[in-house]
Amino acid sequence: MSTTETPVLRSFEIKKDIFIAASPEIAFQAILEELGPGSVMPDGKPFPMKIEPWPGGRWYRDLGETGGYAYGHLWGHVQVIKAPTLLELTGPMPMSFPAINHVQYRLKAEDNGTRLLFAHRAMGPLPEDLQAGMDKGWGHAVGRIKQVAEAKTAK
Amino acid sequence: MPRSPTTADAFTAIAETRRREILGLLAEADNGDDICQRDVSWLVEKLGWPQPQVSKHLRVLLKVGLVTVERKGKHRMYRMNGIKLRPVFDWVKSYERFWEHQLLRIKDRAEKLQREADIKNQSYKKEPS
Repeated sequence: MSTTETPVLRSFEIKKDIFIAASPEIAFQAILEELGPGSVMPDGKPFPMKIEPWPGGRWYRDLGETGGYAYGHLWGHVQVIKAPTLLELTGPMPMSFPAINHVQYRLKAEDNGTRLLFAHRAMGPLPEDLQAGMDKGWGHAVGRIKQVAEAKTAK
Repeated sequence: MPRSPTTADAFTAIAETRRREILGLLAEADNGDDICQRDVSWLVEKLGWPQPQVSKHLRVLLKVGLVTVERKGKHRMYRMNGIKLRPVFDWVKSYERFWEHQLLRIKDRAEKLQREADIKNQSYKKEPS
C-alpha cells in the first residue's frame, strides 16, 4: 500500500455562444456528426469518434484491434439528450488522470436560426507536465484573459 | 478529496467568473506604465457592481498573487500579475482551441445542411401538383 499527499483539485470553465443560420433540428444533427465520424482536430487531422445518441450512450475512440486486443479510448457518456435542444456529456474526456468533465450544448431557436450555448466544466488535479513549468513566465496569459473579458463585455 | 478553498492558488481563484472579469479589465488597462494601475472606484464604475463585492474579489486575487497593489496617496492601485496565470491557461488553452474549432465546424456543417434543405424544399414547391 502506498500513500500520497492529497492533491489540490483545480477547475476551469469554458463558455461559448455562437449563432447558427440553421434550424435547431439541423444544428443538433451537425453536433452529433461533429462529435462522431466528422470529428477533426484543430490541426486538420481527422479524428473520427463514435457517439451513441441515447442516455448512457458512449462517446469514444474506436481504434479497432491489434493482435486480437481491442484498442480504444472512452471520452465520456451521454448524460442528457433532449433533441433538438440539449446534449450533455460527462466523463474523463482525453484526460488520462482522475478528472471530471461536463460538456453541454444548449440550443435555442432564434429568428432565422439557432443560438448555441456551449459550456465545458472540468475538475481534477493539474496535469504533471504543466506543474513542472508553473514557475515560468507566460506573457500570453494577459492577451488571453483580455480576449475573455472583451467577449463578456460585448454580450 | 476536499475541494480547495478559493484562495488556495491562482487556479482556484480564477475559476470564479467575476474574478476573471476583474482580471480582464486590469489586463486591458495594462500597457506597461503606471496608467495600467487602477483603483477600486475605477473597477466599480466599469463593472457596475457594489464596491464591497469588487473589494472582496480583489482581496482573493491579491492573496494568490494574481494582482499586485501599490498605495498612492489615499488610493490603493491594483495591477494584474500575468505570470501567475500561466498554470491556469496552459491547461485551459488546448481545450479552448479544440472547442472553438469544433463549434465553427458545427456552424459550417449545419448551415450547409440548411442550405441544402432549403434548395430541396424550393424544388418541391416548384413541381406541379
